[in-house]
Amino acid sequence: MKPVSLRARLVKTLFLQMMLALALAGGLAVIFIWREVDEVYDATLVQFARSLSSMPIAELSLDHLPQPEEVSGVKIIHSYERKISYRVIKQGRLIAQSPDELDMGSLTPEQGFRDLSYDKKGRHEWRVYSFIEGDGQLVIQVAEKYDIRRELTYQLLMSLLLPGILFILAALAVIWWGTALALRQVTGLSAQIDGRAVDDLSAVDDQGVPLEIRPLTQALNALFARIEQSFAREREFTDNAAHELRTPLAAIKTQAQALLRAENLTDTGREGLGNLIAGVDRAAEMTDALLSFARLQNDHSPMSAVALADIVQEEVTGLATFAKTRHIKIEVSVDQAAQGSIIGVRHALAFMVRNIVHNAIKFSPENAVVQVLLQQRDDALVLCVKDSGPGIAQEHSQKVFDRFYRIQKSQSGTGLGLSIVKWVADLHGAQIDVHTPEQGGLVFGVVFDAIRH
Amino acid sequence: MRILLVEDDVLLGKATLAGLRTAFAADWLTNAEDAEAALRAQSYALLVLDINLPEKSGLDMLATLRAAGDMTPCLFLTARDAVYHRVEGLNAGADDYLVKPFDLNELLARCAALIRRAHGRASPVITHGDTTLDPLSKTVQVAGAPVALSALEFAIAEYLMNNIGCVLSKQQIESGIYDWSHDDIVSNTVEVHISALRRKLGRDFIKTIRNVGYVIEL
Repeated sequence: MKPVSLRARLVKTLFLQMMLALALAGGLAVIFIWREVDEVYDATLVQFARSLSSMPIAELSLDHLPQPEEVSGVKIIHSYERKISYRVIKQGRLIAQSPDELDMGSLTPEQGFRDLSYDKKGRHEWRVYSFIEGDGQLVIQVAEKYDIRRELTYQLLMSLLLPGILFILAALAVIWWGTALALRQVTGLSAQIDGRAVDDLSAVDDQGVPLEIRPLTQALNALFARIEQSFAREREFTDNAAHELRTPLAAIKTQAQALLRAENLTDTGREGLGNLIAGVDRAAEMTDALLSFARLQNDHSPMSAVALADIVQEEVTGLATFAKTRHIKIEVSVDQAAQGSIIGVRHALAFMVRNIVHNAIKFSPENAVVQVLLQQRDDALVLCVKDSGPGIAQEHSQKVFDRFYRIQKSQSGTGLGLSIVKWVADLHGAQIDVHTPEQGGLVFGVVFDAIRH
Repeated sequence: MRILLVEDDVLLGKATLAGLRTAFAADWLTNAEDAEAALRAQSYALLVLDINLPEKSGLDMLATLRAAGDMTPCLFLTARDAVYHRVEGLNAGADDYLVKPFDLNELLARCAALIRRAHGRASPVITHGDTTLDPLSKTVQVAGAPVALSALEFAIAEYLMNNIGCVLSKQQIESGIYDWSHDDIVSNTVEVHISALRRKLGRDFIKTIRNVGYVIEL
């Protein structure tokens, strides 16, 4: 659905409604105005006719033609002056007539109003009033053009409608501006939400947020609170699971080790206990790996600028003891250009580096060298760990990232490490490139996007 | 050397107790209140304390203990590998920690080290004259030649050599080497073992202070 502008819709709807109301009001006004104008003008016609009738007959000769205002004493609207005609009929004979000599039809009309002739638009052109005095001895007819009434009605209507239209336009302008002002708080709210960090689940500040928008901010805050709670529950669950899983394993191992220290143990018993301890160690390792994975996945730590070079140094130092037990030398080489940072989660990256280097040490033959390189290539930061182990055959190169996948089931390990590494790489949008060169060994590359400085 | 283990998980408690008893005399309690009572009644060479105890936590118990002036060395066990637990534990007055699941041999080595340090020794073996006692391997050598001792003889020798120059009563020796698994102590057991030790390590190795107790003189 196309997004709707609340403001445009409000103004559009209001404009249409107000115009409709104005049109309705105008329609009614035309009816009322027309009726009033009719009555007023009819009244002046009657008054004019009476005035004429009260004049001495002699004065109403064809030779002397009084102007209407002269007769009535009422000066009508100047521009419409000439739109009044009259004639005087005495005993069926025309004795006086206005200069336009308007033909008002029969010389023996009935008393009252009558409309006369039609204009081009098919409307009556004249309003005629016939005044009969005595027994029809004297007939005075006055006529007035309808134009004047129409003109006045139109003027009156316009004087009503024009301010109305202006009012509507002004009102809409005020509404347009006013809604912009009101919506600025909403815009501020969205800026506030837009500007927060991905993992920021604190409540939205709804100070100054209009009442109408409050339900939205409240719903938003409730949602944030629920998400935060569920994160906390996940963390708590992982912690509890760690405790509950490790304790019985610890008990089994300790018990077995205590038995192993007994003096009267047969070789079979010793071997059995050794196997038992190895099994428990394996389960504990698996538990740890699963819990680390769960922790990493449930961890919603913010991403920040992290110097990969520092992590590499720290993790290699941490693995020095393990490398020493296998008589393996770790060579670390960090390009001067590769000191830049990437955006990431520090401990997840540390886990990744630790895992890759640990694998390299584990699978290398004794007295071998493991190379850890950090290089800058164009815009990418590349972590590359090279070992001289058996490498990974082509058919396994993708499967090794599957959970619980181990190339050789006899090999120790959980089959989880690389799937976690893959997960961390995906989290950081990094590409993993694993290949075995012709001379053997394994090259494990992770390509990160570096931050431009 | 007698160790007090405080661990609320029955399975792990039993196992750890069995493990500790392969090298030390050890008692096991499951809550802080009982442990405090036991520490008032009896002196221990070491306290092995679980942090997550029901009701009163191991940390609180340790803090109370240290506030009361009890300087028994303490190693605490924590199932969580959260760093703050270790920091809190050490700050509360513990001397060392182990994260569960631990290796029994590591636990025993750390216990031995803590007891050794509490007695002001840096070397793992105790030497007196030409007698050398190794608490971990449970061996005793006189002038380079190994001497076979029974478990209780070794325990008494270790206890006395850890307290060289101190006169220890028969009761002190008993409570230092026997844990609650030994409820069948015969009244003259200590005397019997001491005379055996004299026979194996030399007549003047242990002196008897009449009506007080025994001592290895400096």
